[in-house]
Amino acid sequence: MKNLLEIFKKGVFKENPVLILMLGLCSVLAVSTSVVNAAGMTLAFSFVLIGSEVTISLMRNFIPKTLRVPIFIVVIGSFTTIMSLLLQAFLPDLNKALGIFIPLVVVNCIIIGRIEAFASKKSLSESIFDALGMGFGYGIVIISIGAIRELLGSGTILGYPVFGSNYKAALFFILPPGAFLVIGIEIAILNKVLSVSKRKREI
Amino acid sequence: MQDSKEIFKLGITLGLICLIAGFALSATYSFTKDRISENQRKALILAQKEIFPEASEFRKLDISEVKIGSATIIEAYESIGEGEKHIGYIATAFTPGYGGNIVFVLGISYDGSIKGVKVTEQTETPGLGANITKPAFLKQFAGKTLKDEFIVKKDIKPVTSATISSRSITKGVKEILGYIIKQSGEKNR
Repeated sequence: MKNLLEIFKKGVFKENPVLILMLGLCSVLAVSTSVVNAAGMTLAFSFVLIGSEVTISLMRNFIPKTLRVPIFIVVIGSFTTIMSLLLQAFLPDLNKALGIFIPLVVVNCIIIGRIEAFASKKSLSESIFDALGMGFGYGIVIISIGAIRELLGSGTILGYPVFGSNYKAALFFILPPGAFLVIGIEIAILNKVLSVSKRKREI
Repeated sequence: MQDSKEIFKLGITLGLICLIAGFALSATYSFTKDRISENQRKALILAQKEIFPEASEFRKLDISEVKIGSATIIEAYESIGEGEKHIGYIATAFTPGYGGNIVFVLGISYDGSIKGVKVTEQTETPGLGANITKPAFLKQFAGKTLKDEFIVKKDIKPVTSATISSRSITKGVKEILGYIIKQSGEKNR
């Protein structure tokens, strides 16, 4: 159990997919304009990640080595399409807000990266915790970027105005440069925290 | 010989996996199909009802996708009020904006003036061009006819720092208005 928790924690901090591994940045930067969009993207992404990691982990003994990449792609593609259909049917507004980034989950390199490096070699329970940890780590980052950008760029949180009507929103944060600035700051903070905790352990 | 056997085995494995994936996909598709088309229909009717609140029915017209100038008409409906009365037309169309296509619904009264415009999909710059969806901008189109100029900064006040977006939708609205009036005129004659 301790080992499983360790795997989960690793996905959030030491191997955070966005801030440390620097994967899937395209969708993180583009979708994090508001908290709602970021949370929706996390939901969609985690669904595909968990589904694919579980499937691949269950099949790992039957997958011939030479065929692994096409099989990974078939599995990820199927889960993405299923998720996209479900979103269109049950959450049409979210589907509209996320737009092109829904089908693009299929090429999100975090998913194929985790499958190749982890799920195709590890047991089912380990893969589930890896997927949960990576999904959570992805979610925290994209939602916090979304919150900062929404607060400064539109003066709202979850669509509710925070600063009153006199606040002049700093458009900069809603536009792409704002995304780069906020993600840069978050990367710096996490690196600082990790290096401090590492130094403590060494002493 | 050993090789071809191996290839055969690989092919069967991949084929099986694809078959299972195909089943999963078709199951989800048939499960969600009705709901998705229902959602799309609802969204369209909502936009149409907003422009023509008094209409009781929208009858689809036999218009195929045609490019008119820079705008493209997707489909058009005839708005029917109480007692089978013809009260106008409503068209869905798209036109290239600053950051991709702007999809809008255009309502035209029976007298040839614009009843209302509503933007249903757009990817303009958030905070700037995206403000073309705001009623404050769109309501300027109401009541305009083909006799109007439809020139930004003249009879249409653009959205602040989004002249290109404002210009594209203004141009698109005028083109679609012209097309519908021409089509309906030919039909009535």
